[in-house]
Amino acid sequence: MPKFSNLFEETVYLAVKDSRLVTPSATLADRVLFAIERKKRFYASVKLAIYSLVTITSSIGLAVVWRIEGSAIINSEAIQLLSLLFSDFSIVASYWQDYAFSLLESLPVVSIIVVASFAWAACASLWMAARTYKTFNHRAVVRV
Amino acid sequence: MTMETKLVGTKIIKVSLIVFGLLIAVMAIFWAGMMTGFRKARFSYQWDKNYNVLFTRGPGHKMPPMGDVRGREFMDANSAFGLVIGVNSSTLIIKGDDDIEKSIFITNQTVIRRGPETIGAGDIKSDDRVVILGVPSSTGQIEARLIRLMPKL
Repeated sequence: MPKFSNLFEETVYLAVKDSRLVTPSATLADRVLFAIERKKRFYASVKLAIYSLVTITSSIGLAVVWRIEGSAIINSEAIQLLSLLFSDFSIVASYWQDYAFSLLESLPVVSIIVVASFAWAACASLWMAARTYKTFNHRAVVRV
Repeated sequence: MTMETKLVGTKIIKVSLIVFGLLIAVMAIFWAGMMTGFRKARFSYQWDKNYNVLFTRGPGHKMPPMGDVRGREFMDANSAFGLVIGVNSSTLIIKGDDDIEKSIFITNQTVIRRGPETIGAGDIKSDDRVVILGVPSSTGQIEARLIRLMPKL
């Protein structure tokens, strides 16, 4: 046995000499990959639960907000002005600048923003939930 | 130039173009909002300044209680929608859903329509529901370009 200057070098020599200490088992790689996959699926299921909760909450919020603000949007002057586009297109086209300004002035902006925000939250969270489910549902996890 | 440098350069250009385009869009929207607000504020000021002239001497006059028109949002300057409460050959008084009256000036260029027919100012009656597209005047009135009578519900 050669002489070593420190304990670390002696330990490394003995470990390498006894190949059983550094040779991994045949199933180690599969077990590590399985553990990683299981962790990923756990986080995916947490994400799916959060996205589903947001979807449900924002859908209920959308229904409530539409009940409150929907009539303001439907009965607004902007909808009546939009109908002029179909009934009197030639006159509207002649005074298109005034028509554009009148549409901008009469838009119920706040109502539209509130309703659109809830609709966007519902759609976005539903899309994220569907994507998460699709990504992790079809993966086969083989137990080693 | 290596392939990586070429690709990074293309990505930087693409991101820069998108950011620049978005900035332009945001500034255009901001400008449109400012213009709209300015027009509404100017019309509301002129309407308020000429209220006594327009509504106490014109048809269907109704003096609101003091402070009733203060604190409201600015009025739409290019359009009106509501019920006709006063009419003569050259002027309409419209009451909107916000209970604010507007004076509509009928000119030779004004087109008045009910359904597919073109009618005259004399065919407009009180309690008709109208949509008006026009141009704001310096006296707080809207010079009508198009008056469309809506069907009664």
